[in-house]
Amino acid sequence: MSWFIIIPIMLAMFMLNMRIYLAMFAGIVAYFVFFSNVPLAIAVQRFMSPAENTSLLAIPFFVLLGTLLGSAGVANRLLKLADLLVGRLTGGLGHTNVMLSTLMGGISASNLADAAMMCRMIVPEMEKQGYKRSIAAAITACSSLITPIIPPGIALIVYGLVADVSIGSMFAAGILPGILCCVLLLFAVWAVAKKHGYKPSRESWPTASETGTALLGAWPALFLVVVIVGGIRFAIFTPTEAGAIATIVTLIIGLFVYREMKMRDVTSALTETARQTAAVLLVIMTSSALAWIFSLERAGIGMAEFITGLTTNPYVFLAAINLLLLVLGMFIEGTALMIILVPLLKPVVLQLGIDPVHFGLIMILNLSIGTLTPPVGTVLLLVCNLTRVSIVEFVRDGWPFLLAIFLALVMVTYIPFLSLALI
Amino acid sequence: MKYIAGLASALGGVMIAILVTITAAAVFMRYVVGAPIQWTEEASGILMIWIVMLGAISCEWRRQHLTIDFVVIALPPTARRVMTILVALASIAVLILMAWLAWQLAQTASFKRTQILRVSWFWLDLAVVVGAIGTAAVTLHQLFFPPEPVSDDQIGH
Repeated sequence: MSWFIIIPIMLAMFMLNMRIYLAMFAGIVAYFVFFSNVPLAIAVQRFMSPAENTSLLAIPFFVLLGTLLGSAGVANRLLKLADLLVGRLTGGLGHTNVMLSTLMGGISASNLADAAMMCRMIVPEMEKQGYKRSIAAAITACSSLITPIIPPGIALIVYGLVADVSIGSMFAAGILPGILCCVLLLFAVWAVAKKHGYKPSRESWPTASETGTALLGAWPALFLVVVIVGGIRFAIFTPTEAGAIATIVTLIIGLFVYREMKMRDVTSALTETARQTAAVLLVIMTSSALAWIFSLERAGIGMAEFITGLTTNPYVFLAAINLLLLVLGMFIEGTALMIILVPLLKPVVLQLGIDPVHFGLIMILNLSIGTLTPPVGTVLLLVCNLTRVSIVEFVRDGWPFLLAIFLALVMVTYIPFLSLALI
Repeated sequence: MKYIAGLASALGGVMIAILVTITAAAVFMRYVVGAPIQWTEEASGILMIWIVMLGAISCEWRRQHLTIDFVVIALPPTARRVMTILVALASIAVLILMAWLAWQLAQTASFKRTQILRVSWFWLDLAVVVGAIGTAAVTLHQLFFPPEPVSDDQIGH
């Protein structure tokens, strides 16, 4: 067990603000030097091997897709459609905000990009209609959490890779929990709007011709959702291929159908994608080398024995894990946390009879909540910064929406049906 | 240094464009033409490692790598400055070690070729050498010329 010392050393290096991938690589090298007689060059080989996995290609494709969507004009059309659907309700624009995140969730894979776009598109409009800015910001931040859960989602892909479950099943599993979050948030918006007297954004329910026009305007965007979710669900192509095809469809829509995209948008999206791919993949690559060490040292089995010694009740285990993740998620970036913990926890999960797909959904939803909590909530910081709302105001006025999301987490945790019904 | 980081991200961007094209082409060939292409998976693997390692250089330049910075932010300015320098030096050491190990691997594995395209593994391992040295150079440069802090506003772009 003496090799285990590399873990606290790595954690210490994380805390000193060393790049996560470098700290992990240093830990891996230390393992090879001090605790193993395998040649050191194997460390690099283990580090490189995940790059050959074609499933990983899905990550750059969906990052690129998300970046391109911002300039393709797809979001504006979906906004009109969302407003048409729910604008008549009390608190119209708040509902539209939640609806738009849900619709975009079928295309976009990252909540950070989604939150940034919404802050510019819809928060100023909400303020004009008399919403308190902090409430508008909280709705935007909380609803952006739906995006990574509704397929496609980067987190779903990453979990599928590290837990060795099919990415297709992860995508199918995300649909109902995503819709659940949407419904709970709509309720929260309604309750808050009622209390503050926020008006609907539309006077009447849409007429047939209005619906027709909006659907017609949004058809390329809706087509994209059908291509991605349908294509994967019916095994026409792999999630990776869906990402590539959807990117090309988006380019065609942006350049030739809506004609809002410029070549400059495309080139900057490509270079940005190269950077974001590197940032995520380097952590995945080093952690897969670390996972290799874990399996060599049978760390997961040790962990399983330790935890089953404490409890064999899956409900207790899930409650404890949720608490642990909520606390860790406040301090550590979600993707990194997931990549480190999944190889350690998967044997326990299997032993307690929990479906790894269900566990994945719990983990992803939980860690998404981590993006909304200080001090390292990336979405929280981004939204507060863009809308100039202080974190205190955000929490004071936004708690009903946070509560709705917590409720969703509890339901997803204890109703496995939500995650497993569509697989 | 700015140009090196720019070149790295431009090359990475071009490779991503190629990656999208060949993956979509593979689907097209399979369903429409009915003649699947064999080599796309292998080519993707090679492109991927280069994208990641080139992207790493540009990421370091733009400070986009994943870190956990709330402890350092809480430190008083002088301690923070000292810590930043120490961590940068340690990072450079790790990167040089990474490059050196990858170089050794490149030389011992150069006779190994990929299955379909017969590309020497040397060219794959070289990506790690280039990326690690490039990132170390950027880290060293930023030690002497600290960049302006990136505002949160730019995260979403």
